[in-house]
Amino acid sequence: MVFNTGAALLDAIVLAVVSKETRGTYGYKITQDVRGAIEVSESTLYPVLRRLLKEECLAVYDLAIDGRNRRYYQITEKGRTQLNLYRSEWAIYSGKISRILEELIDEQG
Amino acid sequence: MNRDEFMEQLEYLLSDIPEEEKEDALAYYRDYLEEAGEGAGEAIREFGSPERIASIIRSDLAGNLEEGGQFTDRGYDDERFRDPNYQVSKRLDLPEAREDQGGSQGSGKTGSGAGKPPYTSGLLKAVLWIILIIVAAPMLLGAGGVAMGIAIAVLCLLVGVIALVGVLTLTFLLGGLALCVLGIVSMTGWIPGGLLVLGVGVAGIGLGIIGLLLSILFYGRFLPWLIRGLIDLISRPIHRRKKANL
Repeated sequence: MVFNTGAALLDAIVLAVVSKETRGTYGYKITQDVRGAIEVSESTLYPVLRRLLKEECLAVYDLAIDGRNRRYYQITEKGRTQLNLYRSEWAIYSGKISRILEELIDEQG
Repeated sequence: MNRDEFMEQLEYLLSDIPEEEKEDALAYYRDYLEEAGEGAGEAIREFGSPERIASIIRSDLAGNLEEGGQFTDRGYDDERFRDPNYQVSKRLDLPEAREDQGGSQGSGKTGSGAGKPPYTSGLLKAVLWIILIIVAAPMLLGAGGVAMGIAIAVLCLLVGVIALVGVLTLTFLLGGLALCVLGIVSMTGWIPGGLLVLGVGVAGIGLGIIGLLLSILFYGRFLPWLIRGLIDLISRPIHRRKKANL
């Protein structure tokens, strides 16, 4: 990918991915879903999830699946508020960037 | 490296972080690899190595995030290391950045100095030897002093014995000769007494001759042998050291 994804945008994407699953989702699936949008290495998300947990944007619960525990991540109220902030910020930011890039294309074309 | 090996190594590498953090991290990666199923091998390859994963967990725990560092899609970024062009500079001391560097620059920059041979030089060695000799000198002098004392004592004893043999020989010869003369002279007065003195004198000369032979043996054979031996004894360690240096 040409553009870097900063920490805030990565947080936003992870929060969005987790918020889509009302009953929660787990590490491997989060990674695969995030990879549907941006390129991340398989090892990237543990520190991000850990930080979001610490900031109480996410909560975890363990569920026994096939005789072992699977840790599920769920978005919290605080996480949802944070995600909404990210969404509005992103709308403004991406709108501006798109406008500039498209104007340049229009001028050239 | 298979899943069990990976987890085993990761557990070992994280053995000194707080128990709760360790369990969380291990559970996450264990779950992850189990969910990956068929893709576990690919995932492990992308993890890089247990060492890399462990150092990511550590740098996170060390509080780098609170200080400004962040994990982004490209790994670890730190706002404090932004350059004026607002390109986030990579921190080369962290594994994520190192991986990127390794990809673009080959293995040259990866483990900084890992393949370098340990630093040595002739000068350094010489300086260290001199310091060692200076430090050890009092001890060497102590031991050397005792050895030298013993050597001198033995030498004095030998000189004494040599001198004694010489003096005794001379005494017997001169005494015997004198007694012979005295015996011949005294035979003019009392013949048996004169004969006795003459006898003693002859015996003395005999002993003197034995002493003389001993002395010849002593001075002619033993002394040169002793001197040669001493010279050899002194020069041997020097020769040996020279050989060792060659």
